[in-house]
Amino acid sequence: MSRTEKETTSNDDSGFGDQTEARRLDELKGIVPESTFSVEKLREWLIAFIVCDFNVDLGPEIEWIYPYSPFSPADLTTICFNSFPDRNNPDDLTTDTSFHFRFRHTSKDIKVPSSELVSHPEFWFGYCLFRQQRDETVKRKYGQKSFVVISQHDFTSLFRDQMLAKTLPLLDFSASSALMESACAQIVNWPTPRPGQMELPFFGSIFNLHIPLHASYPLQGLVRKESVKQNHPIDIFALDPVGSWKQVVECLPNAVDLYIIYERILLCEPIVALALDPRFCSEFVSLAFDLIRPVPFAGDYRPYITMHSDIFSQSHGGPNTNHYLVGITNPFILKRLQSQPSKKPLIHSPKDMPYIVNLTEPAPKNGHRNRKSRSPHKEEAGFDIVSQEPKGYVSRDWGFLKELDEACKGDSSPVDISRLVRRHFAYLTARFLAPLDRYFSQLITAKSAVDPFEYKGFSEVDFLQMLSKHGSGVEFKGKTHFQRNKMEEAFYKKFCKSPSFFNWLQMKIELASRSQMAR
Amino acid sequence: MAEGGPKPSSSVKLVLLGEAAVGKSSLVLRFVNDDFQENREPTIGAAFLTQKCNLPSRTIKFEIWDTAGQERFASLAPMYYRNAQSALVVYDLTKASSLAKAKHWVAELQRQASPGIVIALVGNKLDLTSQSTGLENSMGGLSLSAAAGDGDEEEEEEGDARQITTAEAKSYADEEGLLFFETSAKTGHNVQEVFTAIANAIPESTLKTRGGPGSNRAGNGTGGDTFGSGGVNLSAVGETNKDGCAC
Repeated sequence: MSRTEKETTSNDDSGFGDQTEARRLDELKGIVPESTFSVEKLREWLIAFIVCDFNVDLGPEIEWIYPYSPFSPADLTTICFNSFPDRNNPDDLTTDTSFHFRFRHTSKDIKVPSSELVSHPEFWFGYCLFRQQRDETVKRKYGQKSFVVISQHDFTSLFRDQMLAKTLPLLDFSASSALMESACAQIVNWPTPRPGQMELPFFGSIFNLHIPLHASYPLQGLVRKESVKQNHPIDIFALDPVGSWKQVVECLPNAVDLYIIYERILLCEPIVALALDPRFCSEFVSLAFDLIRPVPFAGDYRPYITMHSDIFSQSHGGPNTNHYLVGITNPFILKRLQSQPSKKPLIHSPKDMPYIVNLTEPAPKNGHRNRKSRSPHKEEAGFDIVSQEPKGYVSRDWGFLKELDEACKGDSSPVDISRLVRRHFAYLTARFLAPLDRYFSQLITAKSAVDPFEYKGFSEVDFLQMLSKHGSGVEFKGKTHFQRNKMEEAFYKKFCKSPSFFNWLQMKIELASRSQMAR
Repeated sequence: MAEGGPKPSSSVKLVLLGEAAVGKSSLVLRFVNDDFQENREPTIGAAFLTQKCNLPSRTIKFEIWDTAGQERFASLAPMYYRNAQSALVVYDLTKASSLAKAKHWVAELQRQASPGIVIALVGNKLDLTSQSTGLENSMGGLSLSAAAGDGDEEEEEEGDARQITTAEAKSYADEEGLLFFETSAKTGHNVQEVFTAIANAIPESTLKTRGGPGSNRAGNGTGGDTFGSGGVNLSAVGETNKDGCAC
């Protein structure tokens, strides 16, 4: 579609909103070529490719959808707005940036084949490649576009890092139907996604995709080997977090904050990551989400939201839980998250305040940074970030923090630093879960067979009693033995009341019945 | 294979380029499945297939990217030939314009693809020419061109749709240092030979070996990439061909 054609179309639109999107969808229905392949087969992997264009007068709009898919107008609006950075980075006008978002979809007319790999089919993901380049034909001389893949799968490293970020930028700025047709023609020949290893040819590269048996155990059943230097195959671990802890640690005023983040995620308490660009905040969510594995994060996680996120829309009733992990770049959203009309005023309930991870500036290299300095957006957000002083429960491992500090100062690669952080917290989680596992195993071995329903016979009193007798491998804060025990009990109590515990239990029941069926 | 130790095995990326409807996909189908279909649907984007080729000293696993010939897909071609170790540029020897397009692809590959890329120029649809019969059992592509020449025989036969003489294409291929074959995907004539010749022409140093280490380096005299030396080779390879490229 040519630029002039589009501008005339756009000028007819008096406003932007769902109606515009609906009309745009109708237009596209007429011009998008019919697909020559099985859309159902394509949808085992993804729903559609979308090109969004930023129209200076009207805001973001859909330029192209392939294959044509009857998205709901609300979904199109969500996709349009979440596919662009919320703020401009004036220093960097021409670099591509990639990020992802997650939304609760309402497109009832799009049928997606069910898959054991998709645990929340009500959510879809948008993987975006945002590009800005000089374009003399438009106002302000810069054209902005986002190439988006919409998929039901949480495969960020495949879609965002390989498909979009490495392959598609080789191509022209404009939406090319030949490109999208080619992409789809290749994907329909891919095998159905399943746990294990799959070779997926795509635009001259071969992706060697590894999907673990269970999302909570991303390494289970996978052989990890160093990638060969040659161009193929490219090893991709589907559920690995994207981004690096190095970048996060460099923004934290103090690396001990990692423990606060960890505890909040484990207890499923609200966290908001504020960054300058959508890539960083979405990567933070991906990393944080991974930190507590094998405990499945029980809240609503959103790698990147804007003011137009579906999380705020009336039909969803807003973020109706206080269990969320959200990435933002616009500080005004903090206020919005606090003022849900349908809810009791949160200001009186400080425990529901989200913990804000400020990733907007690197922490100074030398010396301490005053905690107060971490609130550059206090004014505009109308929200006091300074007041957050959560104390935390788990005792810090100074050996680990020293190692991390040295790794960050030295020349350790981002990959190595991520590995260090992930290993430390995976070990911590394993020790944390050990008393619970012990409790359940004695509950089960009382009967001879493994009965998943036994898990439901959980008694907090019994468990805490057992905990106080045997203790936990996790060290808790406190000067005296008594204080430490109190802290330990309080933390486990909190966990057992959190949705994390319920989700974890559910996962154990599911795994137990799976292994029973396999017998 | 029932041979002693495992032969070293390596993957070779191969891309097919050429005008629409010259028979790229048919060549691949013949090579991979030993099959032929009339009136195939045009390829969208590109198809990906693999096929092993057993040489005396090693196994080559071709990773074949069969690109769409339609003009609207032309801009995507660089994604496919990027890092390719070999290319098969196909024209239809009954269609003059298709050689021009082939030359265009050869020039683009020489300019933009990996420096050591092995390129084979292939004139397909030999079955539509008078040469199609009686020559199937000849020694190989090159000898075909040399022996048959552009002599009278061709012109005598009726219904010869040939528009590009062997000599014309051959001299171009020689000039550019390309392997050269005339094939018929329909009869299978010379198809195996093209791929075997490419496998032999890939310099061993560019191969990523996956098989037994320190294996036989005294290869098969594949030094030359040019048509001439490749040709000498062909007859030797021809003997191993039956248990060769497994199709």
